[in-house]
Formats: sequence, structure tokens, C-alpha cells
Amino acid sequence: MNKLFIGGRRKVAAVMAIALVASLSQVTTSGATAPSVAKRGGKITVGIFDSFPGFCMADNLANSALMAGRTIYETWVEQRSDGKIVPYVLKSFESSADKKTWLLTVRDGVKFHDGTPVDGAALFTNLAALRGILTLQGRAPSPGTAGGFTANIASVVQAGAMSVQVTLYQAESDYPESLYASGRFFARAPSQILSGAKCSTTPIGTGAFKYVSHKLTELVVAANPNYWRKDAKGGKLPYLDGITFTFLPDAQPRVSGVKSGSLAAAMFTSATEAKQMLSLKNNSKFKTIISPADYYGSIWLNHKIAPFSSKNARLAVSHALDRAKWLKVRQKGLGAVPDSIVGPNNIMYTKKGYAGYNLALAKKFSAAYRTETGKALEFTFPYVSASADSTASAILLQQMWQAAGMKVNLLSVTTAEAIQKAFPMQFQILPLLLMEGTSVGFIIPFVVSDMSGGNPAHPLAKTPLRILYGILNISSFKDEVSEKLIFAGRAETNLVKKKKLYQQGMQRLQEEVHMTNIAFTQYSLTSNKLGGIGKLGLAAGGQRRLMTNFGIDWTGVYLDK
Amino acid sequence: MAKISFWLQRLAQLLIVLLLVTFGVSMLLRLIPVDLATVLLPVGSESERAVLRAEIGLDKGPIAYYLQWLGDFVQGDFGKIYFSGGTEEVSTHLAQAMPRSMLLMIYTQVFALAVAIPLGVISAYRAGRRADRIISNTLFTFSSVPSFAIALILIIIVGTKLAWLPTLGYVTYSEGFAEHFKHMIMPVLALSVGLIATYTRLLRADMIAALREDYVTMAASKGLSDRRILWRHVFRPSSITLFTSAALSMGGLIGGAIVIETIFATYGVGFEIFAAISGRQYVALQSTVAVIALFYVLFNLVVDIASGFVDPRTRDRRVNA
Amino acid sequence: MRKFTIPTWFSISWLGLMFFFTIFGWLLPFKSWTTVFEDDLGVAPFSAGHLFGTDTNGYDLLASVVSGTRMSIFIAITAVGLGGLIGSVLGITAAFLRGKVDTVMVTLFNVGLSVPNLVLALALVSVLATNLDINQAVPTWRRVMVLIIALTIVIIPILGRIARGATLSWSNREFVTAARSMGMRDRNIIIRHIVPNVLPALIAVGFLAIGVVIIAEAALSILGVGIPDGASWGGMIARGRNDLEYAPHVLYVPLVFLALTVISTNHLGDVIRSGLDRRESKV
Repeated sequence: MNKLFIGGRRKVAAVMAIALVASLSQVTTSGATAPSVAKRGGKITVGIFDSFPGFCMADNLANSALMAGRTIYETWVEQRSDGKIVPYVLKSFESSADKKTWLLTVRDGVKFHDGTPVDGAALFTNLAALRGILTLQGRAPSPGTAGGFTANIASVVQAGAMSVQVTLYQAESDYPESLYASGRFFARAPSQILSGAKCSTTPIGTGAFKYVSHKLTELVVAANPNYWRKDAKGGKLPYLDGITFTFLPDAQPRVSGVKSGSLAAAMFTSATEAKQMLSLKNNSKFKTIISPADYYGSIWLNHKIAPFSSKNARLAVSHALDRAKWLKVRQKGLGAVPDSIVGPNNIMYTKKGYAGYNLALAKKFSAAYRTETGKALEFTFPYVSASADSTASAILLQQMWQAAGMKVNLLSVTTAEAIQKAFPMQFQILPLLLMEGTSVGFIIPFVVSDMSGGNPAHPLAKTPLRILYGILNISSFKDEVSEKLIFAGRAETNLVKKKKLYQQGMQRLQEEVHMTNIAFTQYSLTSNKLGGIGKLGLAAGGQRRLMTNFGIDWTGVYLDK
Repeated sequence: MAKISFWLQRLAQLLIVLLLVTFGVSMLLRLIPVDLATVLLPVGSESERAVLRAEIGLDKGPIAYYLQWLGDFVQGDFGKIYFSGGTEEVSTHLAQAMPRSMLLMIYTQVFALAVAIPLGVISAYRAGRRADRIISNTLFTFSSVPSFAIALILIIIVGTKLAWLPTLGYVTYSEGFAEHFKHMIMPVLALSVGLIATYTRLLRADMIAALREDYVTMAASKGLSDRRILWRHVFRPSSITLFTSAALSMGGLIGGAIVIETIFATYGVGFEIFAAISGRQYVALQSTVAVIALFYVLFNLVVDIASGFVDPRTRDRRVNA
Repeated sequence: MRKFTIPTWFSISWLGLMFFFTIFGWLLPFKSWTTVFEDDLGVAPFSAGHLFGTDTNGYDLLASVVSGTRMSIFIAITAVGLGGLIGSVLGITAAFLRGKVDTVMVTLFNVGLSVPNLVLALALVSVLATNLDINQAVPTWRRVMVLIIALTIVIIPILGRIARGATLSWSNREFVTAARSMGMRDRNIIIRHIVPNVLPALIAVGFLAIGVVIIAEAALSILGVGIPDGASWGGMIARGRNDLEYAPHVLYVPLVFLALTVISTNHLGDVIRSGLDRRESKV
């Protein structure tokens, strides 16, 4: 899962420009100083803004901690810079004509850090763990939210020594996106999955780095001498001997860390740190790369309890948010004003039905709520107080709502508490960055009430784990109209028709204000004396996306002294 | 004989104080109006929480809970830190954090005394003159600027603008002496500024009083050099108050170190306290506070004993204070 | 009365101004500290319309710092006042009654003193400011109350011990013995003879304690357990630390107010104490 946000956003042109400029400047600086001679060795420290709850299926590593986790783990498929999903630890994936059956074949010669081979059986075990099947059998810990993500899978069988066949309940024309889960469904060694409580504390993957040690605030990894990928000249990877990822919740220590040389690199989020991002980007001494604004932080409105069971309250809250002011004050102009729940790069993007800023309307709906219930519109807004910037953001939101006649209390919570009380949702309202990307794989689970699509034969259907079907929909609503449109879009193979169905679904979500938003988010990584960032190609050809919410690929990075 | 029973009595007093402190913290935790097991295991299941309650005694009454905690604590089991991926032992954290904080305090005290003693001697010797006025006023002003403000300003100027010193983290001396000290300079500076002011003032006042004593006049009339009088006859007796006050300032130093260790991310005991509070790790909080109180009280006892042996008058003064 | 020196005059005037802000600040024609000036983000001091500039969130710093004065001074005076009152009642009673009451009281003071100030305050605030219902935020006024209670508890043993010490030395004086032998009741002796003599020493330490409390409040804010949505100097410093590199005045403005106030209280505390020492030496 992503992390508590508060911020982010943009417009196609602006974002493309920023992303382009960022990647160009990156190419020019490194091109000029380093004639791409990779140096071997060296240990570095990287500053991040998320901590490490653990490494099992249910331990959701948030953005920058996911970056650290992905030095140990690799995903079965990977996303190319043009957005296409390509095989990675897998050799290939093929579908039947009806897009309901998918054959996944594993790459030969890849080994886990414990020496065991990655094969069909390992893939089978991973899928069974993600689906919660092993949990039901008492063989593995809970799948957590992954159980919801995979609920459309009707069955999985091992088709050969190196392959499995996945059968879906409803057709998915882009199933590999679901298998990618935005970089989260890793190839874990079966020995880790089946190790009980140790599953959380001893990650065993296939990545370029091996696990050394971790604390809540720190992850230490060392080079994997048997890593399967090679560099362009056929040389061994990775170049670095080791990396320590250090959790620094406030932005300023990360900034001063990079500047003073304590950190080789640090990651930032525009949700609260746009100021620092922009300042570092303008500093030519360091290399800063910024992701596109494809991260759609939302403010989720709990439909199960007052006041957001009332549509008047939801409309009032959404119309009261002055996104232009937010862009100026909190984002320092980084990004653009959102005019949809998702960004313009996303296939579901539509302006129709979006409840944008309109103070008069906000006051009107706030008054309508009072007429409807006899009570003033009042709610409690939770925020993580650990960082000065998130506090400033919470205060600004509070003031926007108060200007429209609502009473808003601020509640300071820890990230762990926020996550716990979000799944299932117990807050009245919660800002949480969940949805992301250009496609729907990481959007649908959060906006439908039943990820199994009502499959009565699903293995979890008659068990308590059934709760996972809808647990990701933290606004806790059931909207049959939008659900039908979205599932139809997912099955459709004609791109034009698909897009239309998705947009209609989004329009409905926006008209009902099932959630709202204030800004989209971008991520950046600033490095000092590092080379090779974004240079290493993918095994299936092409480049990985340069910068994402989970940072960069550290495999081809070297110390450039 | 009387002396031994005096110290035994003193020891008993300390023991009672420690028991009361830990009991008080324990009661405080039980006052929290939320279920502690839910706070500690937010993503756990009800059965896991039941196990936890039994494990740390939350299912018992407050007194039984305290006794169980105390029993574990005495045996070196300081409880655990809970997160969704498992647990960490508080004792492991403290074993790493204690030496860091102790070194930070020792460096701070040594540095503060090394600066304050010459300054105090000069300003006492030149009392009322320009040197004294400059020293006293400058230090007085500095002592009113909180240590965290000095830390923040140091980071910006020395750390990021000049990039002379690292702004984060801790390096053990086995990993490199130079790096170790480089990482310590800014935290030590930030913490010691206030102390330097206090120590200088104290030493100055004490030395001015001592300079008026008859034996000093006597020594001067015997033709001893100013330097010799100053160090032998004036500084020596005055230094006892100074060192006692240095010992007493440990409490404030521990408090100040929480903020400083958080700002510099050195992962000392202060940082552990902060992490325990912001992560709602109440068992860790209870044990860490107990360890701090234990060290603080023991430290004061040692200072008492030491200064009692050096100068019986101090002992009486302190006991009566 | 000795003539006041320039620093003394300065301290008195500065504290007077702070006191004025605390009581009448809300009446002054300043901007609202909660207004976001979206066209003036992080402008420098002495800009048009913003005497002290704004922070990078667009809050007017003059308005914020005046409002912060109100919160910080209120918390400091209340905590020290309450702590001083309770501490001195306990300390004087203990010293006057001696015996078991004294032993218990001294032990309790030692308990309070054996946990470093900030650790104690942190623990108290984090425990007391927790709510049962997660959707029920702890309101600002309750956070302020909790902060005051925590800081009061920190102050009680400090001032209590001073009061006890002072009472012990005064209650041995001839006039107390005389009053007692004349059959004066304990309560009257305390009120007539002990309190007037102990009070100046307490006030001197009280001034120093105000500085300690103001700094403690700021430290708590930096650690994220201060008052979230009310401006206080500490809250401003906590928010300003991330602005230090981009708009340093955001940190310096509240810091200067805080430092000048602490300098003034420390100085006045010193002046009162040296006045006392002179009186003592005359007795």
C-alpha cells in the first residue's frame, strides 16, 4: 500500500515537461561527467521516508521502503517506461482468446538467495500465498490486502515444471497488470513463505541484493554474488557492495544528509515535500529525477458512518477544497490542479461529474446536510503528526473546510494506526494515496465492493477471509452502476470501447463523490556522486520506468567518486 | 560505623525512589483509556492480542502487572517493541543506544568543562572588567537559546552550506575514529553551549567568593604568584561545586539529548524514547524511562559518594538540601 | 531600592510587552494568523503588509508570533503558577511539620526529580492526550490543559524542594520560635512569618522556571507532541525548521521572541536573587 499522503497533482503538458526536463537533465549531467564506466564496490546510505514493518505478504512496504525491499525482491513482470507490462522473472505470459486463462512461464536459471531454483512450483506457491489459500491451510501467514487484489482468480494449476495456468472468474484483457500489482507481487522463496513468523523478518528473493539485517527504521542489504542479470558488457551485477536504507520521516534531515554527504541519495514525495524537491532540482550540484504525477492520492469518505453516509456531506467536503490554492501553497506550483479522481495519463480520466472547488456550493451542501440531519456537518480528520509538513497540510485542509461552515477536528495518528484503522475502514475520513498508474490494475481494487466479482466458488467465499474481497474499498461503498461499467471495461479488448466504459465508471464515482482529492503526487530521488541510474535495460528489452513511487532500480547504480 | 549506616540509609532511599518512579510510570500506562494490546498490535488478530495480554500481564490488575514487569526488568527482560512484521527486544535497542548516549554525554561534559573552566577563571580573575563582562554577557545570551535551535542552525550552516560535517547518524569508533568524532561534533556543540554558560557562571561566583577568603589574602601576602593562587588555592576548592553541578545537570542533559538525538538521528536513548512515544510503544517507553531513572539516580549516588569523600561539607550540604 | 540597570529595564519592558500581547493581543489590529496569504509565500521580513514576513505556507509571522506569545506565555505562567502554588504548599507544610510528612514529601519530590524533566513531560503528555474513540480527536483546549498539567507536575518538585529548604532555614529563626512560644497557631505562623520570607526566593526561581517551561513546550512541539493546530512559539519553531534553508526568518522570528523572553526571565530571576542575597547578608 502507499502511504498517508497529503498532496500531489498536475496537467498532461506540465507533467510531461517536468518529467522530460528531469530525465534530460539527468542524461546530460551523467553523460557529460561520466563516460559510463561503472566502478565496482562501495557501500552507501540512502534516506527514505517510510519504515519497514516486515517482508511477508501482508506487510505492505510503502513507497520508499518498497524501493528498498525491491533490491531484495523482484516482480514476476515489470513495467517498461512506455507503460507496457513485460515478463521479468517470468519468461513469458500468454492468454486464451477469451482472456480468462493465462499461462505464465518462469525464466530459466534464476535462483533465490537460498540457492533454490525459481520454477513453476515456486510461482504456484507464491500465487497460493497471495490468494490466501495457504493461510486457509494453516501453512502461511495472512495474505493481507493481496487477498483482495487476487480475488478474481478462480483457480491456479501447475502446468509444467516451469509454468502455471491461471484461470480468472471474469475476463481481464490486461491480467499481467494485476500480477504486477504496481511492483508489489514479488517472487518470494517458498522457504520464506512457509517459514511461519519468520516470513516477516527474513526476506528471500531473487534480487541483486541479499538481506543482511533490518529494524523498523533501517534495512541493510549486501550484493548478491549469484545475481542472474548481467550488464551490457556481460559483467556481473550489482556494482555496489551494499546499501543501507535509513528511515528519516522529516524532509529536512534527508536534504541536509544529501548535501553534507551523509547520504548518497534520498527520496522525496511531493505530497508534503514539494518545497524540498524543487529546491534540490534547481541545485546543479546534485542529480534529481522526478516521477510523473501518476499517483492519485485520495481523501476517502467512509459511507458506513455519519456524516459521509450522506451525499450532501460528501459534496460539501469535495466542493470546499480549493485545489488551486493548495497547488500554490503546499505544492509550490509543482504539478497541476486535479479535475478528476485520477490523472490525465490514466485511462479512466474524465472531468465529468467531478466536484471541484466551489465555495458557494460547498456552503449550500453543508447547509443541506444540516437540514437533512438536524446537525451541523462535523468530522474528525486524522493526520500523521510526525512531520512538520504534514501538520501544515492538515491545518490548511481544516481551514478550507471551516471556511465552508464545517467543524473539523484534527486527530494525530501514527502511520501504523492509520493503516490498521483503514483496513477495514474505521475513520470517518482519511487521506491515503492508494491509486496510481496509467491503467486500472491499481485502481479497481479500491473502487469496487467485491473483487471476486461475486464468484460463489471462490476458495475464500465461505471463509472469514471473505472480508478481503472489499477491504481495499476504504470508502466502504457499494455502487452497482460503476462496478458493472468497470468490470465490463476490464474484460473489453477493443481499446476505444474499453476507455469509454472506464470513463463512464469514473464519471459515476465522481458524481456520487465516493472519494475526493486535493492534488496528485510525484516522487523524486536526489543523488550525490552516483552513476548508472536508469541505464540498465530490462531483460525483455527496453527500459524500466526511470523514477516511480518506489524510486529507481539500484542494480546498475555505482559510486562515481 | 555511622558512615556505613548513613550510606545504607541513602541506598535504601534511592531504592524506594526507584520503585516509586517505576510504579508511577506503570500506573500511568494503565491510565491510558485505550486497550494497550490493541495499541501495540494494531494489525494483529484478537487471539494474538490475548496472547500478548497474558505475556506482559495486561490481563491482570495494575499492581500484578507492575510486579510482573518489575520481575522481568530485574532479570534484564525489558519487553518488546511490536510492529506488524514481528517484535524487537527493547534490551537490544538499549544495548545499542546506551553507549551512544553515554559517549555523547561524556563528550559534552568534557567539552563543556574544558571550555568553562578557563572562561570561569578568567572572568573571576578579571571580575567586573571588560573581559569578564564580555564573557558573562555572551554566555548569558547563549544560555537562553535552546540547544535544539543551535542544532538546527549548525546543521544549516556547517552541514549543508559549508558541507564540513555530516548531519546525520552515528559511527562507532571501531568504524573509524575520525568519522566517529566528525559525527559527534555538532551534537556535542549544540548540547554544551547551555552547560558552558552555567558552569562558567558558577565557577566565577565561587571563585570570587573564594578570592575574598582570608587564606587567599594570606597567600598573596606571602608573595605567591597570581597564577599559583588562582589554580591551587581558589580553583581547587571551587571545583567541587562545579563538578557536583556537572553531575546534577545530567538530568537536563538527558532531556536535551532527546531532541538533539532526534534531530541528528543518532539513535541514542533519547531517540529511543521519542520513537517509543511516537510509535505508541508503551512497554518500551516504560522500560526505557526506568533505565534512565536508574542511571540518573545511580549516577547521583556515585557523585554523592565521591564528593562526600572529597569534602565532607559538601555531603552534609547535599543531604540537607 | 537600588537603581535599575539598562538590562533590567529592558527585561521588564520586554516581559511587559509579552504580557500585553498575551492579554490584549487579540484586540490588536493584526492580521489573522490562520489566514493563508497565497500570493506572499515565504516573503522576507519588512515586506509590504508583512512586518516579519510570512512562512512558506503563507502565514503572516507577526500575527503568528503575537498569537504564539499568548499561547506560550499562558502555558508557562499557568504551569509555573500552579506548580509553584502546589509545590510551595507541599514544601512549606513538609518543612514545618517535619517528621513523617516531611519524609514522604521529600521522597515524592525525589521521585519527580529522578526522571529528567523532558522525559517526564513527554510521557505525561503522550499518555494523557489519548482518546478512547478514534474519531474523537483530542480538542486543542484539552491538549493545552494536558500540556499545562504535565509541565505543572514537572515544576512541583523543583519549587517544592526550594520552598522546603527555605522554610527549614527560616523556621529556625528566633522570631518563629518566639511566635510559637507565644502560642501562635501554626497556620498563622506560616502565613505571617514563613510565607513572606520564603516567597521572594520562590519568585526568583519561578522566573527561571518560566524560561524552562517555555523551552520545554518548544521541545515538545519539535518532538510532535505539542499543540497541533494552535500557534505557540514551539509550534512555529517546529514548523519553521523545515523552512530554515528556504526562508530562515520563519525560524528566527519565533526563536528571537523565545530567546528574548527567556533572557528576560532569567535576568529578572537573577536580579531578585541577588537582591535577596544582599538582604540575607544584612539579617
